[in-house]
Amino acid sequence: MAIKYTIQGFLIYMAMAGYLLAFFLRLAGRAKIAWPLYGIGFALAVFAFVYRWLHVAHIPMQNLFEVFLLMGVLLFPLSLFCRNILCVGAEGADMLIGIVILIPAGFFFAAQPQQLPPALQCWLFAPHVAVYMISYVLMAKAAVQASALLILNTSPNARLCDYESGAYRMVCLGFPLMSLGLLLGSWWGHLAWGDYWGWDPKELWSLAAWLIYLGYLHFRYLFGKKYPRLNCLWVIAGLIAVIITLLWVNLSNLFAGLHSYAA
Amino acid sequence: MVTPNRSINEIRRLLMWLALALIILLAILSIWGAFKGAGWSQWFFNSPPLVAFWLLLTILLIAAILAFPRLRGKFGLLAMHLGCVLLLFGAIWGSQQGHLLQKSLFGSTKVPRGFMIIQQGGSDHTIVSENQQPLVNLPFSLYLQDFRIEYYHNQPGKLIAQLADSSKKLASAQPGEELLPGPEMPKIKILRLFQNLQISLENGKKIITDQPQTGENPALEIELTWPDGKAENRYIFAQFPEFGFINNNLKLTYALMVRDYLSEVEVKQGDQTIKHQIIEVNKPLHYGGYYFYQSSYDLQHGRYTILSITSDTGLKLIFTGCVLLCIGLFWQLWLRHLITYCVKPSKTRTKNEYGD
Repeated sequence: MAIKYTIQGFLIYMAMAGYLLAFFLRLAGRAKIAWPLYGIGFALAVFAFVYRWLHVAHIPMQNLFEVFLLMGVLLFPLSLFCRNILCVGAEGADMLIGIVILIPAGFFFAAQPQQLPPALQCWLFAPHVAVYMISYVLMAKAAVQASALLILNTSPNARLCDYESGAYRMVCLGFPLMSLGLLLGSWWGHLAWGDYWGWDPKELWSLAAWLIYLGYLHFRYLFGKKYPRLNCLWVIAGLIAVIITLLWVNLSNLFAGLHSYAA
Repeated sequence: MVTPNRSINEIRRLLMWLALALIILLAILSIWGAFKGAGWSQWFFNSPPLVAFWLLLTILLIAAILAFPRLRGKFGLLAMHLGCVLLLFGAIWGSQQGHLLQKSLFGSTKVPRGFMIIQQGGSDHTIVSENQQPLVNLPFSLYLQDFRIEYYHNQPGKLIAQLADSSKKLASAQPGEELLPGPEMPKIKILRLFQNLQISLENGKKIITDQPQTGENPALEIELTWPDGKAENRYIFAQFPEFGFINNNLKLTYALMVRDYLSEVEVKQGDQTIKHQIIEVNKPLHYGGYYFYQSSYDLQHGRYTILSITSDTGLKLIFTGCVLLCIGLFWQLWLRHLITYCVKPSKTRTKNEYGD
């Protein structure tokens, strides 16, 4: 447990409070008040991210604390985009995801500022991490849609697409970004370590996650919406692989490798 | 009687199932490899059965492009599948087995990877293996003008005391800080910080000065006070950890955050200098079909640099394939829909706009 009695910590806790209040108001059916609160939570998360950036004097995407903070920032604009452009809802779940993402940043991961080691001083560092984090948030949203289909017996709001299509749209949005992240990582590996692919545990888990979503897209092409529950299981399996890639590989001693500094 | 159309459809369905099976198998193997570690995975994914797997995957992709008119007709789908073919072909061509094949077919002498150890002020042209066995002589040589390490100086480093049982104690590397590693151990006091410690002799006497303008050799002057009261002064160097052994039970390290490792080299053909470059992390030298990377250095005296070397065979194919794959994915899953969305008037848009 690493409670942060700092301005940084205060901003994160306030952002979490904004997301939490928005979530409860959304549950209570007060969407009109929930959205502005969600927006305030987002603004505070942006402040926390910018504050961190100024504090460490480099783009804060170096360790788990910083990437979780980044994901906490990304949720609101992605929620807005998905609802208004792609007709994929579940912003109540997004608010909850926002809290779940910010909890480890606020209470568990250490926030000591660190200098960038030589390998991270590359222009590919920020785009590689950023596209991966955006894709991870989108895959989390896909898994929410998939779980809704498996757990709930209701249909979403008439303005929105059904849960199965929602999951598919989220994967279609996130998968190219995940592929771009893989490409940028491979290019960076070539520049830094002399290997575009190092068979490192994190690389292998990220490949496994990519392959699960690739399998899902082929399966859905083959059967369409004939087996909606199986489609949803692919999407949930993909998110499990993403969580392992992001967390377990970095936090467990089981997977020592080149990416271990990311913890 | 089976009609040609029906049999073609069956072949397409079989290809789809085969693709799905290979994707699932590769995902399982990747997870297995993650548990086994990078070394094992490197060996396993380059072993003959896996070479057969990669070839099968490449053939399957080519067969799919030929069998599915949709894959040839849609730019995005064609680009992503063709990208995968190029990527796999490049990876196979650039692998250990690929290099062996090129050696037997074309007499190529290129090696997939190796190392080069170059003394400061000296040159070398031999690529060696990890255990320093010569692999191949290059038609050019690399001359090492200078090797240096740059450090971050805006934050204090750490003095780390490591005991025989691998336990560690830390102190901030600032004058006046004290550290007691254990009951039978000396008390350590930091006396002075050096950014560039230089030793000179004047009338046979060792003179130690700090000359931060002329280079980097960060060091700590420490005082060791043993339990019996004896005291001595020692120097602990950031660049040369070998000097940190106090005795069999205690090793001291001055850990300062490294900003960069730099090897200033010249590519020479005979006496002629062809190219001059500073090799840094993320900035390798590309010359003569090889990439030269900053890998390590002489930990005892800093007199040589170690460059790791990889062949560039297949790399262009791999990255062209990767770029094509990404262009295809973005076109198929993003841009097509974005263009439709922008072109269509907002009032006529529906929630089923994306052809799910």
